[in-house]
Amino acid sequence: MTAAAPLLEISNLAVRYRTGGFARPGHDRPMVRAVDDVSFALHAGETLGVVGESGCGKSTLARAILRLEPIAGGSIRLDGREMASAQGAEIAWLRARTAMIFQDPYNALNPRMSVGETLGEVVRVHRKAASLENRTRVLDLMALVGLGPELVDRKPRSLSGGQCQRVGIARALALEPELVIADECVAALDVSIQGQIINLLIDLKAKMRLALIFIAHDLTVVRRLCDRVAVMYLGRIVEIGSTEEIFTRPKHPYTRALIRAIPEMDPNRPLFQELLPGEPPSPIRTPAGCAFHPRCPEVMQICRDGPPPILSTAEDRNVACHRFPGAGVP
Amino acid sequence: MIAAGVPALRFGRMPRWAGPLPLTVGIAVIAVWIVLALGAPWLAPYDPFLQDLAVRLQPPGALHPFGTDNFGRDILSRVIWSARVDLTMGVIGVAFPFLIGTGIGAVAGYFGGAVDLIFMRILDMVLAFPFLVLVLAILAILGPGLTSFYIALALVGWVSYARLIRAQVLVVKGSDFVIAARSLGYSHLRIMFRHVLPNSIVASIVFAMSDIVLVVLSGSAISYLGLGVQPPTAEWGVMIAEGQSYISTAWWITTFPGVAIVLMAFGFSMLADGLGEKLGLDG
Repeated sequence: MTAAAPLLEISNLAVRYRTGGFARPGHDRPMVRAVDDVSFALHAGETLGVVGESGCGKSTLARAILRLEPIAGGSIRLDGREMASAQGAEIAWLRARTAMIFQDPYNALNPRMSVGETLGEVVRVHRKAASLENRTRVLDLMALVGLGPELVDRKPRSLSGGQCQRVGIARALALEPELVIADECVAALDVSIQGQIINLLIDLKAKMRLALIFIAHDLTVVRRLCDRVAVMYLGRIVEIGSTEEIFTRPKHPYTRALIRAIPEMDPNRPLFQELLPGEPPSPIRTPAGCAFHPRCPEVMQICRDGPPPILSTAEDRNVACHRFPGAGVP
Repeated sequence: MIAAGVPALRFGRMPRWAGPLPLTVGIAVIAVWIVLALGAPWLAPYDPFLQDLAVRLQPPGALHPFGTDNFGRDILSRVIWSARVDLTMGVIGVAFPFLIGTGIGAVAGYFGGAVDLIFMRILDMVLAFPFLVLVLAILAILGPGLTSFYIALALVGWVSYARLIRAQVLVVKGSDFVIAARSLGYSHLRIMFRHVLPNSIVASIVFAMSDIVLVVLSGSAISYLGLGVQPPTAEWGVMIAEGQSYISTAWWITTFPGVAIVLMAFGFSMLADGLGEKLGLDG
């Protein structure tokens, strides 16, 4: 599996924001480390789930990979080309190969454009069909995501949430991308619609050999869809591995807590389990040592003193935890 | 507020094609003015400039429904011919501020940074002066006349549109569909004209309709002061100015142009209301 060069290779990616307001005299305003030292690789046709609590930097990571956020450091290599510092034509090259699916299906579509106009625009701008065949291509795309041709002239306002999300997916696919990033793309939908959209994604990635980064906080959805999972905490990846590994043999205490918190339809399971105490700390002032140590049930002295090992791109299975110093080997 | 328990007024269900009531009324009133303006040569019973001292200061009657002024000119004909001048004035007087303001506001809001800072400081300077005072000052420099009036309006009026559009653009540019447009590699021009502006311009269009009222009124005011339309051109403000010395003996000279101004203002106000309701709801 790792024989071929990866499609996407992220190393030590960082996104920082300066906070608003006034600084103390003699100091810069404090920095928010939204994404910090994130590294992973993704192969063509592979699906990586990115999970973590709200505010842990999942969405920022997604936007940073697509160069929609300013990048503070690190590298993003797509097909071997460096994108973290790309400008102008290089960005255009990136944009022609990547697409994004959004969380809020209504807000993601221009309310003044019909389905046909929205999809036709991508096809036209990226010259994915001769101008005379634009309409045919649009209808093909709609069929691909399970939308009937009668919806072509509808505005988003008169579509359901699920239909809007299908349009959003069709818009991403119209580009014929190599990499699609889906940012919480089912979180805003009803559970029954969620299932349909997930099935559609499973279908499409098999059909089109898409590399997909699927951002979610719903672990059951991730388990169904993803080949590998990365767990994020406070802007860093704390554990990464195959879905099977992460769900059956989670190592990092945070991953274990997340997996324990999955609600199950099991009447024999005790209702209340030991969950993580407290809230994640502010990313402005991350705790010294391991950022997770104030909430960690297995905290050791070394966790307060020094940061855990930083994960590198090379490893398929990795844990950033002092309990697993020889991380990398399962 | 009316106390609870009072039954709401019931109207019959409106047919589907009908827009909001104010829109229908507004369109009707403005349509009448446009017909009068275009058809003035045929609809006006007399030449608006024809002086007939034999019939000067006639009260409204069968021959002259709105009466005559101190030169014996027919008031009805002059009111109808004025619609041409005042409608043109309203439309041109709003079009330039609208275009300039929308352009500047959109660029400032979309690109932000230094561009935004510079335009907004210029805007603050213009805004520091009262509207009419600044228009009068510019007119005093450029000399009286309609062209000067349009230039003055363009220099002063753009600020309202720029502020409105900028605020809307700031909201819209953060929405997912604009981020989607960026991620799809669309050009700034395309994002601006296809995605950002269509979703931020409604408030300005509505404002422009009510701004026409303001422009016609200030145009009349400027003409009244002798800085705008020059006599003997028929214009409502000029007519009121000319008739003021006769106001106690010949009320009709000033009253009918005054009513005309109010009616046109009413039409555009209704149009603005209805348009706001319609565009706000529709995609």
